[in-house]
Amino acid sequence: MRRASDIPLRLLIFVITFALVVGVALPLISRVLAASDTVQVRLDASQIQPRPLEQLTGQAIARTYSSAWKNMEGALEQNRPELIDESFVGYAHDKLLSQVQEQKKNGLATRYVDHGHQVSATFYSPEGSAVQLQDTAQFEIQLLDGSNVVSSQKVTRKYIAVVTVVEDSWKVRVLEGVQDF
Amino acid sequence: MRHKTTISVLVCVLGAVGFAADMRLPDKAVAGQSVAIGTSGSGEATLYVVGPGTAIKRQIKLGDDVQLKGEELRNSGYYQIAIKGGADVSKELYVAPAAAEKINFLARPSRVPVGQPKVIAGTAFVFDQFENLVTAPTPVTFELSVPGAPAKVERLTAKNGVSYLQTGSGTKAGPGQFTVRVGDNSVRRVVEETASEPCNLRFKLHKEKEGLIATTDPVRDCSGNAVPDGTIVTFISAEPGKGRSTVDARVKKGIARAVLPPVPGATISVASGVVLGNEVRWGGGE
Repeated sequence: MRRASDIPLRLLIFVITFALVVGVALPLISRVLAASDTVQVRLDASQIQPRPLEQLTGQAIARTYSSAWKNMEGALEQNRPELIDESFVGYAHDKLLSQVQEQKKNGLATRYVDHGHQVSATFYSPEGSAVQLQDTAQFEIQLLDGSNVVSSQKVTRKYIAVVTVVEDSWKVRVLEGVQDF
Repeated sequence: MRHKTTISVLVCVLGAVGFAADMRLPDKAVAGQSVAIGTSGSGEATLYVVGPGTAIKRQIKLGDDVQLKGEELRNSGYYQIAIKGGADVSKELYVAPAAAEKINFLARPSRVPVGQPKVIAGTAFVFDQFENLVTAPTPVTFELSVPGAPAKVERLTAKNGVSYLQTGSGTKAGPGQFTVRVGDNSVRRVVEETASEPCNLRFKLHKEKEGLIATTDPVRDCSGNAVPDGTIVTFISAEPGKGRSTVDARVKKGIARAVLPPVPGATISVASGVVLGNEVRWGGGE
């Protein structure tokens, strides 16, 4: 037979256990999801000039841009320069590579918690080899010194990207933060 | 006892204020130009500057201004700046591109027939000396010229670092110089403008020992440009009761020539591509 005085104790144990499980499991789950998810990119090409973006090309651009961000975020968090080669060429490649090398040298890393990108394709070059994108992105950006988080900022940033045809695929040639479009 | 506690708390608070760090960032920063970051507080701290192409970690003295050299801020974009030590503080600095200096110019095609609308396209991406896309509106001049013909000049404004021109080919064949200019800097591409399809194609017949000799007048396009040597001209002979026979000849020094069998009553015509020329009846006149 249960005593009435046991009930609050059992309730307390249940609450503590629940809080512990949630406290431990949630960060792990979110870390796993963050690692495996693709970066969310919503592409709108309705205002593009001077030629329309074909549907398949638009899909390829959105895929390319999403994986470029994933690779960039991986490269900057883990200081792995080889991740940059897959998605970037030219100036964008060189600048990212330089940042990864500098981070590595100083024992630093940058972690992006990416909350998605609202992207407008604004320019498609007449000969079809370059597309300009305007991206409004939301992140939490953490700066790490070793394993210590030095700073953490929630930001909404604007970027201009130029994606170009390289051999038989698209790659990001320019990726720059801007104040306004 | 109570007073002692109050005093201890005050000492701790004042001590903390004494070490507290804050930083003042400039309102405006430009790529390649040095920047001073003001700090307050006292004691040692660590400064972090992480942004495009850069990751700096440096020991600083709180209360002093920290100088970031121009070469440390060559890339435009967002920089995270953090100070750790005393009280931690972090801010974001935006570095704008410098003045336009470089141009990436895509020009297509490299060879184009004359007299075609919207067939030549040029796209210019405008960068500063540090390869940052210059997003501020920038005047860009496109110029397309062929020797012996007036140049086409278009003055446009690059928006978000890009400007483009789509134009037709001229009427004169020759090596077109397609140039884009930003300030004192220019980039040139060659767009070869070639003669278009033959126009007013005409030929004459005369008989020689080896057969009927068909010779065209100089083959030109509708703008009067000689078509390139090697252009195929086809002579077609419709012979009564025997069907048709064709002979292909290449333009050489502006003229195509072919030898045909002398069949009385044959109707001979000439064509090049989709263009048809005149007809001549052998033995019955034109």
